[in-house]
Amino acid sequence: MKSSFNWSRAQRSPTLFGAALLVFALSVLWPGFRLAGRLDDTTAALRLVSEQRRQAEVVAGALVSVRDRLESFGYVDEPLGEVRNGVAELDGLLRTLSADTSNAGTFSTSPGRAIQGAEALRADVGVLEQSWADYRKALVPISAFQGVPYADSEAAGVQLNEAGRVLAQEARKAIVAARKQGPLLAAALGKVSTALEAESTRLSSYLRLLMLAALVGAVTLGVGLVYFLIARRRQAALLADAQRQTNDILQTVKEGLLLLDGKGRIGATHSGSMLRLFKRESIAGISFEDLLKPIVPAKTLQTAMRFVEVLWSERTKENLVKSINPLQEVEVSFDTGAGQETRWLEFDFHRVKSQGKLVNLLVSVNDVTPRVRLARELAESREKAQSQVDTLLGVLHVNPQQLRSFLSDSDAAMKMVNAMLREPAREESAFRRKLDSIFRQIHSIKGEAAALGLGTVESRAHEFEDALKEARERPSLSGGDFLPLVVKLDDLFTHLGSIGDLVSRLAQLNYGPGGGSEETEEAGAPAAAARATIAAAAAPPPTPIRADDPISQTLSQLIEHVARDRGKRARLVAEGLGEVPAAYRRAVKDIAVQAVRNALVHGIEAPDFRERSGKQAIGSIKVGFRSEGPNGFRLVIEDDGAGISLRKIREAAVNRGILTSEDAARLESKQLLSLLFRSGFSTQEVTDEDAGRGVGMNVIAELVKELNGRVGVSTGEGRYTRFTIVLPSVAASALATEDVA
Amino acid sequence: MNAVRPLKLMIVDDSNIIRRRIERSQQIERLSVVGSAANGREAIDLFDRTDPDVVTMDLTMPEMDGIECVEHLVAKKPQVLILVVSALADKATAVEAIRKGANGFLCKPFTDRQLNDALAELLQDV
Repeated sequence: MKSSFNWSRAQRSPTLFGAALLVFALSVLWPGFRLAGRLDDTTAALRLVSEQRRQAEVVAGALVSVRDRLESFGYVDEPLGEVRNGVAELDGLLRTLSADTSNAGTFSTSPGRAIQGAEALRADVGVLEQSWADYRKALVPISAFQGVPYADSEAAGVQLNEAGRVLAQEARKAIVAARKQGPLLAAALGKVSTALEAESTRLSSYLRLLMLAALVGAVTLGVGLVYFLIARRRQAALLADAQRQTNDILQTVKEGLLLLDGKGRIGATHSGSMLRLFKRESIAGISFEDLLKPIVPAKTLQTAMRFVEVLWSERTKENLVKSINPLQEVEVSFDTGAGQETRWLEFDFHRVKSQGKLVNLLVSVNDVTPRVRLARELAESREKAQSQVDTLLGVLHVNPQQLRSFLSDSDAAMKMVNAMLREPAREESAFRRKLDSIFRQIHSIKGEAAALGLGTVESRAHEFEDALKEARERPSLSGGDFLPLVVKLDDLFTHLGSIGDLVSRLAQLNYGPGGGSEETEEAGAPAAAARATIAAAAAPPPTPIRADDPISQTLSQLIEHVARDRGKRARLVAEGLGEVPAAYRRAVKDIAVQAVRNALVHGIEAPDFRERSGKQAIGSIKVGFRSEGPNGFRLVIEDDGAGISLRKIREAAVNRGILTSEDAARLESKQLLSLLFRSGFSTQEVTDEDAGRGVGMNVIAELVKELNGRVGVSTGEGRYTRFTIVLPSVAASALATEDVA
Repeated sequence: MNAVRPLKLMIVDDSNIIRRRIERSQQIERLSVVGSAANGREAIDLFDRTDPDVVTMDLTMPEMDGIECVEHLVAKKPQVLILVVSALADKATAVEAIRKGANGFLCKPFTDRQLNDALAELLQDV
């Protein structure tokens, strides 16, 4: 037998064996039974014949005895009885042998059947019958005799009477007949007897042969049975072995494996890892939903169950289904009693088909926590390394004075934001005011960072802005909405700190381990001063800065960065920016940064376009500041770009649902331009880091408003855009600012 | 469907940039753009007028939810091929869209190559 066994053969064997057994029983036992019956019949017939074999002699003797007694007037009843008995016996024998056996029962002995079953015997019995019939005729008068054969008289003494004389005569005739018929009868009986014996011997040898065949058959069957049982045992052993192997695989494999049926139930066979992965004692009989419910959020569970539903509908391609697997890397949390444990599991689903029909889903589960953690750490450290390099490069390029001013400004701004976040607020409007103020602070940090080319700071500030914007768009605000902001603030704060740290390490490097480093270790301002000096010494700015004041420097760097990013060319024409009073320096810088950025992004056209329009390829952005004595100050930002398209403002206003198209058509240019200062208004289609949030103009308007100033805009389409900001004298503004704060 | 006749494509997206990118895709030679809609309601109107064979569908749009829109379109024309374009993080929406009868899924942001592959896969059975 081969080591791999054939299932269909194994199934067929018992049936074949049973059939063979039945055929064997029928083919051996039934003929055997028939044969035994016939043998029984023959034996019975033989016994009967043997018993009567001497009957002819007995009768002949009785006849002689009857004659003799009659002559001597003896008592004849006894020999007469023997004759009668002989006749009766032989009659009975022949009746039995030639009896009609068609009604004889299968299970009863019937000697006649033995005779009628054999042609030769029937002939022999025919001879016997004939012989007896002849003999019997001579015997009948004797056996039929009744009464007394003697007459007893005084005169004559005892004498044969009439009947006695007849009887004596018949007896003498019978003796003569017996002499002739007796041996014939005996011979016939002997012949029948011999034939029966032969028949009996023949049947016996048949039966013996049959039994021998039965014996051989039984032995064969027995051997077959043993073979069959052994085969069965081997099959059972193989099956058990296969099961044990499957079990071993399932117990050893690290992957969680399970089968899901159409009703979402988990099959009884699953890998041992399932229990470990899901921290359960048993998962038999529960549903996939039950398995996930305690460890994933309700939303994920719902998605997962819908996904499983999609898997069952074969309409969807397997590749597509795999691409939307919501459990590809799912975060799960287990209640360990001592708190929540978070892990990541990876579920993979395969359709299991049998004969082209989807019967099960094979789900494999892996714990990918180390991988996810590693990936996160890698990403974090990569980002950190990248940001450090960026920061380093950025810092190396920055003018030391500007960096110092940026770091201290942003430090102040961050503190202000922190204070605002802490500040208690209950009403919706207070929350909104808070958000707007924070937004302006962050926006100016972002603008300045962009101007200095500190991309890492800029992107963080941008993210913070996104979070703020999201919060602003909520229909209702509560304190809880500020929590994510705190996280972002912390991120930005930490990052700014790391820049400070980097700068002071650079300073240390530069001074060496000597006395200079002592100074940098001192807190606060001296460190910043040292940093700036160092940065200046370590890496002088690659591009010469024309103007000396920090605002001009910031603006020309901003122009350089943004122009490079956007493929534009422009130069700064600064006037009087060194004259800005200290109280306004921050605000003027913020306003100018915003306005210059707008000018570059929206105003100044691409160089080739400018040339085609008959302009100089390099655009010009003028920023002028001058004192107007008691009337305060005037800040003018003007570019020679495309101007503001009133059509675009109309379209944007209509698209954003601020105006109906009728109203938009009716409005005059001045009113339309004033829309630019609305919060959240932008004509840009896509938000990027430079523009498109609709905050730039609004920031300018808010800043000016805080300073109690005024802002105006004028434009010539295709020619220029000019922002004019009028600020009150410093004292007047200070009062106003306190009001706002 | 006749292989020679280009399939009619309707683009549903509120971003011009994405619309243009789809129009520039290589697979576009097999398709002819019959129009684009910026929101679900426009999409349904346009669908009724132009009877497209293929639809690319942004899931986050004003007026009518993209999922709802998918459901409507599938109800109108069961054999329509819908490529859902949605943010990667939003697998729940993707699952929901596929459940409602969308035939493909493309994550935003995507490269031109990914767009091409997604469209090719969508059209492979045609």
